[in-house]
Amino acid sequence: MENMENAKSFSARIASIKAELAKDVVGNEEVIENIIIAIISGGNVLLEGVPGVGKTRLVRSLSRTLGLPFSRIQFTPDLMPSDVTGTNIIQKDKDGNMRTVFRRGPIFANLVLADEINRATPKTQSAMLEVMQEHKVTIGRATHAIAEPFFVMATENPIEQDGTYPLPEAQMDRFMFKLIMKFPGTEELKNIVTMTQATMLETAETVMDGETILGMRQLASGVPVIDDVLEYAVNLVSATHPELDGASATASKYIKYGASPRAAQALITAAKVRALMHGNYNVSYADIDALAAPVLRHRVKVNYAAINDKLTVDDVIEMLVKETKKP
Amino acid sequence: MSKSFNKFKRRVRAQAIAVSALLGVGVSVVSLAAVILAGKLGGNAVKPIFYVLAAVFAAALSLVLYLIFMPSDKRLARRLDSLYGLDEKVSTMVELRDDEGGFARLQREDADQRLGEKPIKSLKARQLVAGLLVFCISVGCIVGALIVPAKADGGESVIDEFDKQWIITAIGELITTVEGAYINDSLRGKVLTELNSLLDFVKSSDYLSEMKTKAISTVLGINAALVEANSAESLSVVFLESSDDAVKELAKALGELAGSGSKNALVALGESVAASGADDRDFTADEIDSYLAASGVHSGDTLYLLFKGLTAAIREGSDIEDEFSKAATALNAEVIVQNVNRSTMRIVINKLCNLFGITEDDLTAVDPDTDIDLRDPETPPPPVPPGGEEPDKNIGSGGLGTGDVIYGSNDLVFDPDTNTHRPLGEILGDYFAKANEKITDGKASEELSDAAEEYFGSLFDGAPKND
Repeated sequence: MENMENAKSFSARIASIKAELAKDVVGNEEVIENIIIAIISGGNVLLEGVPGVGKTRLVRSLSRTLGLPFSRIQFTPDLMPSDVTGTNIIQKDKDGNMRTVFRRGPIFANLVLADEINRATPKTQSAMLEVMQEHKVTIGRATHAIAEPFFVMATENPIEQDGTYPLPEAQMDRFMFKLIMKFPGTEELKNIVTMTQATMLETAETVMDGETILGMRQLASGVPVIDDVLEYAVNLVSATHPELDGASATASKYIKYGASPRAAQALITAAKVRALMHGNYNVSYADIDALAAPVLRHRVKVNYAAINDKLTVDDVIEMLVKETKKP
Repeated sequence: MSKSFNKFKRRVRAQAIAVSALLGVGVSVVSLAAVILAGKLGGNAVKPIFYVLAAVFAAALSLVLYLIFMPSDKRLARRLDSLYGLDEKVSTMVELRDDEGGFARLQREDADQRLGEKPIKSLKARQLVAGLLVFCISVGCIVGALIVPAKADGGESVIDEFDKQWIITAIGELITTVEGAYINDSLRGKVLTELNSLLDFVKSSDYLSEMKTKAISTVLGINAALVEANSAESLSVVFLESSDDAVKELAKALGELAGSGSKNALVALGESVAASGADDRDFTADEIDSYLAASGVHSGDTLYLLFKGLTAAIREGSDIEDEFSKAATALNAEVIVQNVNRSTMRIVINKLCNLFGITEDDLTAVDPDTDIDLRDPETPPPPVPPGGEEPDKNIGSGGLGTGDVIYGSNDLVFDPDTNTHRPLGEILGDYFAKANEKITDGKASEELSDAAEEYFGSLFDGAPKND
């Protein structure tokens, strides 16, 4: 019963988060909504955007609103894995004995911004991604758990690609969403300037805590998905594979390789949260359609034909959504 | 299941029933109409079992269509979600109808509320237009099939009862006409036999073609009876073949078919025969007997007996002129009767031909030798005079008309003696000739002679006068 009351107030709570974030972050409502979905779903986000669009500010403001500790890791080519996860250090205790103490790395936070992850070496990237997957750090024989909820937002600088180590597709698959923060429009830019002239500090207030988010995650997992919608989500993911029997014309023409089964899992998990967020108690086709691009754009690889026809991966995903029949 | 959903479901069920019934009954009625039409065209009656089968087919087809058109709850839910933009709420509600979990109940409540807000009238019946169209077409087909008259084998229509009664009434009127007509009794008897036979046939038959065939037979029978009764023409034809001048004169007298013409010719002939020698008289009598026998005229016929009497008188050689004079009178009377026979039978024959659509070709197809004239006997069309002028239709029969007539002119008047239109001057010439004959013979008194001369003199300005 209490859960059902929470279900009824779910969308109101999300609205309060959005309202607080709007105090510090101008525009990008869709990005903000999808980030909230990812946090509640237990997923991680790969964020693409040019410098200065407010990625760090967004995560910091989010940490204040959700009452969750935040850390930022700036990835550089010389960053070591231990710089991310932490390491054992030898320390003299109060008795004067030398003992080993684990010094936690910046990964030990609820919200982590992994800035320019593509600049770190593959070894450091792997360490980071392993923690994202396992939610724990193992140093020697000791295992150190990351506090829940744990959310990583990794960024990639799309401009300066020289000397970088682009994340391999297999690693990118671990991210629930890939979101794109676009350069703000004229009005949004005016608002940003106006707001930051007054103060650079974030003014969002805390409206939630980690336990509430975990409760919302638990609640959202119970949202029903009917067979028709499930079938549609599965068909949509399958439609990204040109090698399958009955592949769509778009996939056959424009896709090199399609999304993994994690995409279908991500679609359904995120769709449940989105349904509740919008005051619905069931997942609909509209939820799947809205999350198709964030879930699939980093998992689908387009071929030269798409490049030749000047089609982006988002364009191809939109074509697939139109082609896939709803039962 | 939620109240709102059940409400929509009831509406869809009613629509499905209506459409199924319209289509099922419509298709069944079209099939029945086809069977009825085929039966009528083939001349076979539709057995009652077909109507029963049609009803069973309608019921079965309606049931099958209902099962097709009545959607399952899942299909209906999809339709409602799509129609009202409910984001799969109704579909989820239907799928989770048996789930007692918290979310399922919450979802059902939400879905029920959202669905209840939607207007039920937006849920239109599918295939309703098609159902109505099929039903209307079926009504048209069955009405058409019932209206089309049944046909007999060979493709003929059954005569409408109203038309049949009209024909029966018309034949009855003809019978009444013949019964009261001033015609030969034996002819009357034969014609009435023919007409009554035709009447009985018409009453028992349903097909116009059969009636027409019988009517053609009746017309030919009446004509044959007329030919038999009107012996004057037959005798005239055979007498013309004789080598004897007197017999030829007899033929001409008969051929006149006009009272005064025949009568005068016979009287003149009597005088001629009386004046001839015995051998000539015997030859004449033999010729008359011979051609009488060859004519085929019945021995009881009036003219036959008349001429038999004449031949006896000729052979005896006494009172020949008297006998010829008496014969002339009798001949005149008989010719009048035969004229009435002819005109009355012409009326009867023309009426029958009009009644049954009989043409001269129909008659000659049965009897190539028939010479029945199907012109209207009562008002025969006036011939165009030699000058090409149309005759004045105001001129009545036999008459001097309105006073505008120029006496002795070529204006045409109806001559009842010859039953034709003849120039007035010609007719008046005949009258003058007859009057003049009496005057020159001295058989009229002096005063009558003067009056006649003055009268006809005033009539004939420029008219040809007989010498």
